[in-house]
Amino acid sequence: MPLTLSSDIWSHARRGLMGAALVLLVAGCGQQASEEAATEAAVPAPPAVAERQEGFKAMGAAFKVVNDQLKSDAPDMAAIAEAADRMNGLAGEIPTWFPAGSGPDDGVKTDALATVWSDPEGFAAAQVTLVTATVTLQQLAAAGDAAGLREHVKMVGASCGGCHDKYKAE
Amino acid sequence: MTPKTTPVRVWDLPTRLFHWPLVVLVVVAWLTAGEQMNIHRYSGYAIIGLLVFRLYWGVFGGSTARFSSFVRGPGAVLAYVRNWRTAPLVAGHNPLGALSVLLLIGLLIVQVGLGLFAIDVNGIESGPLAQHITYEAGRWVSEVHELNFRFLQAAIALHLLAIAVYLLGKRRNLITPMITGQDAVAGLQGELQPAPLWRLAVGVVLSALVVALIAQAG
Repeated sequence: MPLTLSSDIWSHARRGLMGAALVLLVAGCGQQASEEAATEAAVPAPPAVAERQEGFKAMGAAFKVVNDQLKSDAPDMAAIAEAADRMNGLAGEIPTWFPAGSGPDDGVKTDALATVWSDPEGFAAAQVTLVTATVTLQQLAAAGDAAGLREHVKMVGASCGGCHDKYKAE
Repeated sequence: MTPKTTPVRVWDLPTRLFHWPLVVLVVVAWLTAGEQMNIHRYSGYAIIGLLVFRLYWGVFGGSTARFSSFVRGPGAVLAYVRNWRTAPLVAGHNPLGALSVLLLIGLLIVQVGLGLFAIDVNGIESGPLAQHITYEAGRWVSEVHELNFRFLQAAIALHLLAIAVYLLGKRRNLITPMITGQDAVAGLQGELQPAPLWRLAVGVVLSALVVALIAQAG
């Protein structure tokens, strides 16, 4: 019977598949274990961590207001202007959110990367870019320029993303 | 191999045209998540369309696609598992495979449902309905969206493992029938009772309408 003839091929394939499944399983467990080890090393977080987390959440919430309004045919310019003011205020506070001793190298559990402290010039420049972008946002909102806003939010977004790429984990 | 038997129709074309684009779209949505959010959004819309169609087809479609034809109670599932090697070969989903279908469709519905309300960390990219919830809520939805994708991955892995087990343990090829619609396995009981073409047309229009409504909300 041809079936028995090929049976050793089948058992080979079966063994290969089991092996692959085992490798995947072990790899998955290993990844999990290393992630847990990383969080265990953390020391009590300094207040600056919660402060910056709240600050960036408020920033995201304000920017969401802007983007939600711009989806509409008749955006509420007062709401956008108010959100832009909030973003500008928060962006100005960023330098106070990352004191020495609140980074991952200090054993703090934080999504901020060590580059925030090792590359202060670059981080400061990114902050200035954001502040400038929020000023333009305020001006466009005050002028009621929906088209200009729709274009400019891409730049604001790029400023968030560009900074996150260099200075934030994930 | 086993003696040649006449191939029997088991899966209608709409069911297969649901399955394979879904495979492609889930992979696309996976690879573009957090990177190419426009493509991610559109693949999500397309998956919604496929899911709406599959639910419709599960009631009005060909016999083997109908939930009433393959979803069985726990007793039937247990009996099938106990007699796994000797259980009769029936055209369509077996009682255990039915659970897999329900699990996959259920997780996919949860996944696209969450995606509609998800918001990225910057408050820039968002699902079409995210403007109705707060940033905080949207962030939470995004976290669950990510977690649920892990469950979906596990369910897909289980699905693939089951196919491999049938292929290697039972010498039963389940892949070719999902491509050609026909199964040539010996001793297969039953056969697809296809649905009329107009039902397909109704399903396509219905799915397109739902997708258009959701996309428009964004």
